[in-house]
Amino acid sequence: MNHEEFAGFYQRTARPVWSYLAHVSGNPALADDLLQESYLRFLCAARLSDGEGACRRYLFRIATNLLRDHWRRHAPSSLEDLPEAALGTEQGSDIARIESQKMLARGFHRMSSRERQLLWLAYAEGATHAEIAEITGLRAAGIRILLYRARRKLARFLKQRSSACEKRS
Amino acid sequence: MNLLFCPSEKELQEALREGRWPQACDPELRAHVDRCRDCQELVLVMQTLQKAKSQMHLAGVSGSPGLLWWRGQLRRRNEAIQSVTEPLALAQKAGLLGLLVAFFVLIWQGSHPSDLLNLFQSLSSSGFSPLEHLWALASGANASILVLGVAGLATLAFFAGFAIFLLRDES
Repeated sequence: MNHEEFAGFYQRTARPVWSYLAHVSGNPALADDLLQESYLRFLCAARLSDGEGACRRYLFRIATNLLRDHWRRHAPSSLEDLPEAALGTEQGSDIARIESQKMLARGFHRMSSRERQLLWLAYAEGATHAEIAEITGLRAAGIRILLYRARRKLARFLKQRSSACEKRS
Repeated sequence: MNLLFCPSEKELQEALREGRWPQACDPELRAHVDRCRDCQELVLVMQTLQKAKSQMHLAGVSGSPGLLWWRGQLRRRNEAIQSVTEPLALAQKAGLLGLLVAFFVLIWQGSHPSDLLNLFQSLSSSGFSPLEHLWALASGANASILVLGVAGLATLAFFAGFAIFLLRDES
């Protein structure tokens, strides 16, 4: 991969990776840092000629590992322990300005980091179970049931919130 | 598995991803979703996440690919240098450790010079003639034996370090 090819790859992948990091971590500033580090590690790896799909999955895998390392190093270990304001739902960030984003951020706030990763990769990125397994390091056979449970959990929360909003209005 | 997971899930996911839901998709699929709770949840979650993704795409991502590229090249170079210097440093440390051990052995033996002389004598009697020659030269003075001992052990330590370096480099 030369400089021009990398620039094209960056243009195509930076936003999806950043969105993934921002939603799973709930912290846009952290997502910025981890995005830079993900690309640096990607560039240092000797697997640049594997094709766009493989490179993309590899990049997501690096980002996932960086998130995991970050949670291991820094307490609180996951979003469950963070105050909701830290998710950018109250003020400041782009996410907070949009009502549906707020709702999603609150829903994600109640989920484990693994559930957030699975949901984002499957339904926002459209990754297959095999791809999710490659990115997260989980067993492909277990992804389906984990995803099903996570989806049910988020759907219940979203339904509750939307019915509560309807009652208020 | 089909008892747990709805068979229409895959088709529905494709319709949602391709933007065919709800108007442009199969009417049977729409009718199925009206009856199936799992599919309704899938629609709700997937639409929420897709919307979040599209809204995120409107936000800018900081960082320039050019800068990242050069930072990456720099890091690669540093890692390459480190991969070469690390085994060298290890060999150096092993050599230094060997020298220290030799030094302490010699200090210890300095207090018992007769033991050291006996050791050299036993080595020379094993039939190795250059050592016997050296022993004959050195037997007159303890200081010469000490110098020879230090030099021999230091050489041994150096080669041990060098061997470690070669092994690490190969791996």
